[in-house]
Amino acid sequence: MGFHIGTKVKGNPQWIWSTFEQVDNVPTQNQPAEKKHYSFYKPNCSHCTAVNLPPPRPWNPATPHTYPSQIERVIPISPATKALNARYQAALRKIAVTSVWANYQLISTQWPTDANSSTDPTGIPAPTYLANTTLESYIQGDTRQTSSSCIQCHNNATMTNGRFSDFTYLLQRAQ
Amino acid sequence: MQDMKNFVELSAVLTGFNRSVLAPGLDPVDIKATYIETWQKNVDSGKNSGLSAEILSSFAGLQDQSPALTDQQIGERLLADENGLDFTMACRKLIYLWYMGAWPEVMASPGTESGGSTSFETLSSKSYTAGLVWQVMQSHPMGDSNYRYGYWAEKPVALADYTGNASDGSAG
Repeated sequence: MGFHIGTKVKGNPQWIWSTFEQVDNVPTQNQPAEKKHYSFYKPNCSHCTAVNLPPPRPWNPATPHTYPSQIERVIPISPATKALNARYQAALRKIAVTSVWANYQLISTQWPTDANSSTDPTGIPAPTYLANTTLESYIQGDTRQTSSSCIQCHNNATMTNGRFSDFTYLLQRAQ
Repeated sequence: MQDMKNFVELSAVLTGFNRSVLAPGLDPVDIKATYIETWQKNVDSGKNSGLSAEILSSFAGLQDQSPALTDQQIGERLLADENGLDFTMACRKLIYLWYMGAWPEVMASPGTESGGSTSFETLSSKSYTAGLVWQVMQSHPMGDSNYRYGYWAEKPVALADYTGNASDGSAG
């Protein structure tokens, strides 16, 4: 459904972050639907959650059903990225007609525009925000310190002693 | 395009920040686009139609003078009383806009100790965090920090790093 690829690159201490999604995941907010059916959005759904809102809390374990997600993409995929996707999907289908990877698309890649900035350890990322609708469904948008940003979030990663852990949360509970 | 270039140059002279800080070559935040629109709209309102273009044109003229004027000299000429109150106030409000991320309204109160008061309206959360005042403070806006955990135990980097003026020489 969705995944990130974080790449540690020499000269870019903030890493470079790409995120991908299955093409049928969700429609884009305020744009005409491109597909007939989506995996995480159903038009006129009466029993779904409100768009981009998590289910009501607290969760009642006695409830026999879960609320279906109702998710829309808030920040559209750029035309350049759409063109790139079309090119690579076609290339994948050329070498393997049934390749499932041809059903995935790049959403965007976040990278530091000023990697060595002495005043901003996040390196002024571009784009400023980046969210995968299946992984950061409820924190999409453009509100600072709230909306999803790979670099800004991972910039807060520390080890058990509180020291910076180089953008990985894996060491947060390391013993 | 030319207006934006002049606007950034004018802003650099008036704020004391380097052009590369106000308008980086790669500028994902792009606050300058919001500021030029806000400045032109407000400055040109009412009886002052065309004032923003007049200021940009005067600025370009000062920049082209020979022998060349320093940024300090250009700034002083722009803010000189002889330009008239509307002209100098538009320049001063531009400084306020960049530093505070807000558009100020100045109300004169003749006879009072301060001579008037200023109210302001912050344009957006983006302009609030982009305000140059935080850079001058070598700090960050309330509730918004890109510094890493424990940064408060370390000395800030030099002010010149924030202003982009390497020859500034002031240390943090």
